[in-house]
Amino acid sequence: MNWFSKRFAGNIRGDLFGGLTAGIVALPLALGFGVASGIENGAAAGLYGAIAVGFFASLFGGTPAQISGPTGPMTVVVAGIVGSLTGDIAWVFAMVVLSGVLQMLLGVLRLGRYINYVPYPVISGFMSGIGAIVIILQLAQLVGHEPASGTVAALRSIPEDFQNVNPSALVLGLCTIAIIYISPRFIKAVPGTLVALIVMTAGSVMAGIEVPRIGEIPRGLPTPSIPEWDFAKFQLILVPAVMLAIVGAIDSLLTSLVADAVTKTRHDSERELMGQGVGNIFAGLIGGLPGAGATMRTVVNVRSGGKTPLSGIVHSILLLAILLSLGPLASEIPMAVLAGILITVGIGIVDTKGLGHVRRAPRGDAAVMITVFGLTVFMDLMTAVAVGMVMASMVLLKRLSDMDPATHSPLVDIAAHRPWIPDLEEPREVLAGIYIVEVHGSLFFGNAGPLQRKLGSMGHANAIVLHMGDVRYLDQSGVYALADLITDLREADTEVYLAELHTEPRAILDALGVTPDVLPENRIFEKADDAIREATRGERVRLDINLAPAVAGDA
Amino acid sequence: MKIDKILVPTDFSEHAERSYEQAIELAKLFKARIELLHVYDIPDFSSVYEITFPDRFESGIREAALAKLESLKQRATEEGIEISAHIAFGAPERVITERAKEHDVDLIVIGTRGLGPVKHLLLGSVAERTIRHAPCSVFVVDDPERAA
Repeated sequence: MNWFSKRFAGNIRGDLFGGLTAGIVALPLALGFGVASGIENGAAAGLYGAIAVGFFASLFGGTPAQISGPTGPMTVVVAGIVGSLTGDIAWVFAMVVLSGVLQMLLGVLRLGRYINYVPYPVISGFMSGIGAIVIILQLAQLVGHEPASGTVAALRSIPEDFQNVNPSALVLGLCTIAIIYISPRFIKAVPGTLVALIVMTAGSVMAGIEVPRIGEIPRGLPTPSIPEWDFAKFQLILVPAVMLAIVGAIDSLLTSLVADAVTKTRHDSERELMGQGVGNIFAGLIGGLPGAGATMRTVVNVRSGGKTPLSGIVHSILLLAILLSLGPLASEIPMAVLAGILITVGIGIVDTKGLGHVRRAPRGDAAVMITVFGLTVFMDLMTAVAVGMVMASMVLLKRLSDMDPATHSPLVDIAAHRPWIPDLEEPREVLAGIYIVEVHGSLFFGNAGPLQRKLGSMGHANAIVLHMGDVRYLDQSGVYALADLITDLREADTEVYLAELHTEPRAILDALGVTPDVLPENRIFEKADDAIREATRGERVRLDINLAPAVAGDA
Repeated sequence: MKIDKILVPTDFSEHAERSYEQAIELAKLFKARIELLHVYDIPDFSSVYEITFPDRFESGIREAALAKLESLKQRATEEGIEISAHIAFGAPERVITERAKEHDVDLIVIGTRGLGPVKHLLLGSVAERTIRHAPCSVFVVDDPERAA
């Protein structure tokens, strides 16, 4: 009972508010993604998925404050397979169940940590690609047409669709988008997507406009159904199931990192995968869309006070209640309104920061990002990620071999931190709390994780001097990791100094704006001794205060 | 009366700056430490973006906030006050009181209003809720602009 109350009952009020708010944000997204998946009665499938995944991922998962449900990447993968499996919808859900099983396997085999090793340009490229796909797939519905299946088909049908525009649909869609961007300025309590959904649906009904609408939403949850065994069909769903499992894993673990950042805690990757797996198994069994950790819903949850898995459970219960009571109302929602919502979501998924850096980033990284982006949109995710990983590895190998073999070490090796005792004439106490950490080797996508974990636990230090004399190479992942690390430490009131930076790493830090934005000039020193001297200066001031006499009259 | 730790929330508004200056005076008087706190919220929480990357979410908010806190800290340090600065995420009114509780704060110094748009309110919502839920004494700094 003690374990139970610690995990679920520690923050009831906060979780109640967080879960309810997250549920409200989740509603339009579940409906939109559901329809976008191409499944018949998609809106309902979206809701079932949000309920099932949200509930079980929170119950069994490893990121307490995280909210899970249908996401862009998962929906895009499903939409791809629905196209080639029309008529055999039961197999689509069998695929979802299979992907859940695979995710549990990933968790059991402790493979979650390897997500850290997927390089940033690959993830950036495929996320941007997904965002683009989401937008492209919705363009047809924005103008009132039936969506084509598959991205290329959708692109091909654009000229024709835009010639036969359904004006009411277009107006509804554009107004939806406008409301989503404008409403938050005036209405703080309700998400823009929900405002748009309600206003535009009500408006279109009252005006009696002729537009394609969602249609019948069945009341209540469907019963689990398992299709008859068919080896050919099984083979067909195997690869997409693997893709779904991996995409879901990446999506969830990335969201877990955001949850870590805003709750200042560390999630359990392997447990998270198990939770996601269970959630997707149940989602598939009841005919729901697969899901993953959802960033914005998680952030909204934490912001409103959510901390424990109870919030995810509350979110699912709210959606269930809405499904059971408001089903008939939802059937009036115009497709164009959902399209508008999804287009804004697609825009949000695109990694604009990464794309903005393309020109300044190392050319190898940029090439990987663009290639993965293109392959994601025009081919499929598996190919894109596989090719991306291979390219990234080749780029890394080339860089390493270009460097002077005598001075570089192939693996990162972080020297144990120890208080520095220099040749200064200072008493020992002044140096307490100041650590120097020597980083040996290069900071690239493979080893950024361990460095973050190691230094992340040093928030108690007063100052840390990072001795970078042995760092010959920094790639984009390494830079972003270092920037995050520095920001985290400074937030924990630990000063950070960089010493003995070589020209190339320094140049890339400058190029990506880490200096001076994240770490000002006055924290960077050529010599480690100077950095330490600067660090002790701050220290001394604090210690003087502690030695001040107590106030007379203190009890 | 023993005051060792003063929590000073700031949203970097002019009013918050005034409260901070008062807090420094109080800290000198009681020989107390100051904990400066900036709570950042989602720019608009109803935004629809499914942001993927941790740094993308923070996107400059934390860095900018840290920089501002740095310069604020200087002022206290110059006066010989021990000060630590922190950033936290969430709804300000909730985070402030939670933090006060967790860190055994003896006094919260807060202004009547911060960045809120409604000028004629006597008390802003964050200040009001802080007073209501605070686990310790609250020192509310007046706004001289308010008509007497």
